[in-house]
Amino acid sequence: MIGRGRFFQRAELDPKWPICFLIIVIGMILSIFEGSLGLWSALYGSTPLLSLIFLYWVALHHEKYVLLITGFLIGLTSDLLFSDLIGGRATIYIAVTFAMDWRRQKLLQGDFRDIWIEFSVVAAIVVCFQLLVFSALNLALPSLTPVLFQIGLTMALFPIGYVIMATMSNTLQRLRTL
Amino acid sequence: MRASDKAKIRQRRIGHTLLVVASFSLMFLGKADFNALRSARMGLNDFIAPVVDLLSAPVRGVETMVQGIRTVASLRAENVRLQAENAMLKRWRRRAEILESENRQLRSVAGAVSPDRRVALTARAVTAPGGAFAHTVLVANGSDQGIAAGNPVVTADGLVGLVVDVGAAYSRVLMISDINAQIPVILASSSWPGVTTGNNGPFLALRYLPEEAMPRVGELVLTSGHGGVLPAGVPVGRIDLVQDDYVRIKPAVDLRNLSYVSILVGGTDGIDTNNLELGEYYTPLPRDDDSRLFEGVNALGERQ
Repeated sequence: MIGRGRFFQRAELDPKWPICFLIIVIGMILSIFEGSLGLWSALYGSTPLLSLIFLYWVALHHEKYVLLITGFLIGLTSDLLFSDLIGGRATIYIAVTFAMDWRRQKLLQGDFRDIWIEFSVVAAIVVCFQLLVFSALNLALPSLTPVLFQIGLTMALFPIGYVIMATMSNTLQRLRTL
Repeated sequence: MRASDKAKIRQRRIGHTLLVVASFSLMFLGKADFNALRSARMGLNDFIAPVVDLLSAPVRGVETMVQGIRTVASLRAENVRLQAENAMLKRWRRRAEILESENRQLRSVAGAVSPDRRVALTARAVTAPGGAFAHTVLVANGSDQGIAAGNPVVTADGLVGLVVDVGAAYSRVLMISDINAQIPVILASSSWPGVTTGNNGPFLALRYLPEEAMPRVGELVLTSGHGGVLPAGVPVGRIDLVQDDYVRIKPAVDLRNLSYVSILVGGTDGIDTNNLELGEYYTPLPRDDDSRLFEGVNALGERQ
């Protein structure tokens, strides 16, 4: 038998790491897809924050798989590819994961309406933070119509994303118990 | 709560704070526009862009399908419109040939030298203008194909923007609608100079027009060539609205539907494209009496 060190034992005993990694990868793919949606002329410049919906849902229901750098890496991917402001979205996504640590218990005791309202507030804060930093660094205010459209679209898409992710999660749970 | 749990929470909070500090630092470093950071970003873009391309395929497919359905639905009306346009273009072509011949004769008389020819490279747009905070696109051609920062990007309709970052296989194009884009232009019919500025929206604003200028709705706006980065005479857009001092321009190119663009390579000799400070390139030079000087400003913003 091949002798295996502490590193491998740790990996076997703690199976959450692959899932944490998977969540980061899915988040990154979603943020890339989110940027690709801009190719659709109807969504020009105001694509919905799909990665935020995903991050919010994971932080709410599977918090043990959300690492400190999850939000940072998802946000940074989006910043590097589609934004002028490197670190802008990464910063606010870290703040979102931090805020979810604090609000999770209360939200889980409420119904879906509470979760949706709180998400809407989070989406508005995320976009407003980026707007604020962008305006401060560029000393100019960009057109507000795409900003408002982005917030509205993200809020409207949240229930759909929530249902899709909850369904997928339940299906995976069932497959694991089989 | 146990002491170990408390310690874990404290560690997590410290971690969060450190990450927030790191992200904030990235923001300021990014804005400081360090060459190393820019190169690292373009290196990463070269690496990730094929994935973006792959993930964009379904979106592109849906968009093509929707456009196809729209085209089929309006085929007859489109045919009538194209026939009328074709007839008009034939008339314009005849007129252009006459003017070209006249222009050649006048150049020979005046001893004027034609501007340097630029080579057009066709490139595919990999991404769309990114969100409400940046109007940039990644295009699938880079330094391997001879593209350099500062190269103008156009379509058959007019100016799209200019290359700001170059990777080996991909380049980032700053569009004219971006808040950081300032393009020196002239009004086509009156030749008054001005500067268009983007606001990350669908329209541009025309600024620094002399007081004597009388911009009219529908008037064509062309690049002036001041600064030496962009060639002169490329359509930027048409005046869409004139309200007191505010002049709004509708871009000539439909920036929402970019699939292929032409990058004009060459013609930036003598310009330090590694330090392409857009503000310095495109902002007209103020004179002591608060008026703005356009004529004789070189690429570095110095009077000649």
